[in-house]
Amino acid sequence: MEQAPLAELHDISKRFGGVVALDKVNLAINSGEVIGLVGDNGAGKSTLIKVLSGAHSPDRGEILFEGSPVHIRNPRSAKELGIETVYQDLALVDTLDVPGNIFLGREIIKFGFGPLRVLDKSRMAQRAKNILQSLGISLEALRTEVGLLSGGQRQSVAVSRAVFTEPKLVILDEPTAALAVREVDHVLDLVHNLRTQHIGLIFISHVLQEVFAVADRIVVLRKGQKVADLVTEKTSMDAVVNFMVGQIEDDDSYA
Amino acid sequence: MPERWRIWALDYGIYVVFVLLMLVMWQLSPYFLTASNLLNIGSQVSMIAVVAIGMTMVILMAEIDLSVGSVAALAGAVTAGLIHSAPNGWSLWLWLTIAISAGMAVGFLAGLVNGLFVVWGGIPSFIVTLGTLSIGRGLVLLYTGGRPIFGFGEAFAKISWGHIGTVPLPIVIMLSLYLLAWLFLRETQLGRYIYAIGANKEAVDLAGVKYRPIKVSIFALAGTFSALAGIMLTSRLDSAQPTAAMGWELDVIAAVVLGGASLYGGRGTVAKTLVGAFIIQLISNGLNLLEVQAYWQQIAKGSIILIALLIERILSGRR
Amino acid sequence: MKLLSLKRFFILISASALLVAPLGLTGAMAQDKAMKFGLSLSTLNNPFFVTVKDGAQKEADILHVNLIVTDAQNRLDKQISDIEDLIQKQVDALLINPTDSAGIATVVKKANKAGIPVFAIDRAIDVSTGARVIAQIASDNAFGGRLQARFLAKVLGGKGNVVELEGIPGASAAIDRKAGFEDELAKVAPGMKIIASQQAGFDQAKGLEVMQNIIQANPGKIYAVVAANDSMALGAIQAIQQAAARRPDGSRIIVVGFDAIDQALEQIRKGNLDATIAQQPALMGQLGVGSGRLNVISPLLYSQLKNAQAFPVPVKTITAGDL
Repeated sequence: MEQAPLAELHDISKRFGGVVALDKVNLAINSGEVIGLVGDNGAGKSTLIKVLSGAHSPDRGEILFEGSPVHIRNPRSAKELGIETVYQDLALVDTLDVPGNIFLGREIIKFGFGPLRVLDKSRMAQRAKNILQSLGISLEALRTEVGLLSGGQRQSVAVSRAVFTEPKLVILDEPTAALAVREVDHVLDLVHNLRTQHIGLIFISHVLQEVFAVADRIVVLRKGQKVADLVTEKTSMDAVVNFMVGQIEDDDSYA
Repeated sequence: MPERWRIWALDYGIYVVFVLLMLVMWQLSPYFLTASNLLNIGSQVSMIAVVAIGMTMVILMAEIDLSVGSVAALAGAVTAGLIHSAPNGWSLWLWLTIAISAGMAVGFLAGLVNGLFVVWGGIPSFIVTLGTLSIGRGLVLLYTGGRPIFGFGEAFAKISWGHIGTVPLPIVIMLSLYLLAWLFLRETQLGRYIYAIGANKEAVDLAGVKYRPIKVSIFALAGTFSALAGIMLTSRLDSAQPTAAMGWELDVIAAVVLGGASLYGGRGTVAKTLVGAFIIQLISNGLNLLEVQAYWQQIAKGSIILIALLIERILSGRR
Repeated sequence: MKLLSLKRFFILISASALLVAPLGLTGAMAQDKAMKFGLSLSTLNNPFFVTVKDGAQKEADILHVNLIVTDAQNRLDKQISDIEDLIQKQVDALLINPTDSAGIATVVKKANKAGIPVFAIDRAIDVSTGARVIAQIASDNAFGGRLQARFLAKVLGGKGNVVELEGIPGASAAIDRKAGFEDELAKVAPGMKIIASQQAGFDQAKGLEVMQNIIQANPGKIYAVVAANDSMALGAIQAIQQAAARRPDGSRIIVVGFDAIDQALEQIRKGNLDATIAQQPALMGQLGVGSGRLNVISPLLYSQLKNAQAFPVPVKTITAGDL
């Protein structure tokens, strides 16, 4: 592809006290591309996506978004750039309803200013319905507390929240971890769906079958370093596992 | 128990309890269901009820404010002291406004201190407000010299003894503030954030909402409510006493918890807090009417709260 | 009459002090330090005790006694700590206003063991526990209760219904005033009946609330209210005004308090409060320090004085005519 990548990470490093979480990681992602980010526990996957989502600032390195260098200082900045993240624990407010969660931080206001902004609940409910429908999610009782929904339904809400602003890059952290088997397919369909909308996608998973099912590329992290950047079609699960546990050194012949 | 009944009981059970209690009182004493007695109850509960608005919001955020009694007493004392220091020749209404505003400002500042120590200092609100409870009470003693400040004139007494029509002013104040608070929590963005912060403040943070200033503001608001109640008390007694509002924190928290708010945050409404406050006051009133001694009132209050919490726990199935 | 013996006692103390002072001075010089007394008050949150403290401090300043004052905030456990600290400081005398007459016994016994003389102020210390006290200096609360009863009997002609507002249960003042009142009422006004008796914790807000409820439960039946202290009486007055309650014949409800605080005196002038019972808290403080000093200088002489062991400080009725 000749187009500039959607996002580029150059030499990103991050420490927490004495622990090196990320060590000079380089990564590029293109629009419409799905990257599966894999690695053993503690490899640095969560930290890497948090750098992109604004939850952490890198100690060293540079981030380019749509060709320009950016500083992603906080979650709000990331969202403003068009980067949306769905965390493993979903970061939902269990006592709020579906529209409440989808619009958290971005509520539609009827009128008012300062501390007294009146919510436009009916409009938010209507838009929430539309968003869910457009994603192919069927959710009846919109007004129930999200804490009472099933794992898959909660996942849908979290993903809807991430995509309704038409972001450019979506990050999914272990999206299938808490799901029942039949709900997993649904998530994978969702990923396909997003891909066709030309959104860049990074998703972390431990389940290699899923990664192989949807990812265009597979990036392997180990102990804070990127040890492999592979095209899915050209590699195998065994190879990926070996990279994860360190049986093969960096080998670009697989790229 | 069928699921629907269970949820209904959780949401509306307390209203049922309230009505049942009224019926029981009515049966036990012919003096209960008179307009004058009911209006008395309303006035008696109005101060604790006002404080309970602020406390509800604080508890919704999964915090607590133990300093409410001391802040109320301090605000009342400052207002009282200022009224007495009115310079000659100034308009009475102007000076009263200044004195009352100063009292409210004291409450606001106290709440601000609470909020800053909790949010920026990272100290649990239980500890912070325990400290301000002590400091506040000490300041009251210092300011009053251990003696009550009394005698403020007719105009100031109107706050607690005036009427709008046949309804005592404290009841009007209480109900208006409750209405505003109910609308605020239910219909505004900030109101929603208060619930969200209590339920999952990390999620709120990740959603890009600046929750820290919100928390500090709500503590300051709670302090202001405490101050208003303290001024109402000073007007009611026509004196600011060093021992004023002692123990209010327990009654207020009891009202909020009885009203179904969760001490873990994220759940509760001011409407039910109001019902909770009334239930507690009804018990006091009823026991007085029936000539039951004060010890039993303490025991009754405590037992009712425990039983109510137990029922709530069973109904919500929380382990 | 009681006042007379008080004057005599005082003259006796002062005279003795003057005579004995030279002896004491040599004794003090031999010890090479000024006298140090500890005054442990139950609370400073109450103007009554603030006055006791002021009276004691004034006397201490005149007699060159170093007075250390502690405030137990109405908590027995704190008072025990306060007194232990004073014992540590090796005070020459302990003036104790107990939060609990019996509960204070253990720490008083500690003081006894340390050889520190103990005086009880305003409330008695229970000596049946084995604690030894040089003197109990307290208002005659029981007598005050009797004065209240006599006043009501006189004003109402021995007939009518009375509402009683009681103080904190367990406080000796509350117990004594109630006992004195009820006993005397039965004697001098058998035609009067106590129709309601409720605790209002010596607190104005509670007194107001309780009285409001009592008025609701006894419409048109109340002739008089007797309160164990002025704060509760003030609350009762407000309740009566709010409900516009009156005696059955339409005349004012009589209200009697106890303590003679400033607010109460003002209400008497305004005609809302009919009478209160004046204690002499400053005198109590004075007597405590004075007795303490005399006892330190010469315990033998002190023990010979009449009324040295239990000194009931006189109280009197104050009505509009006295102001």
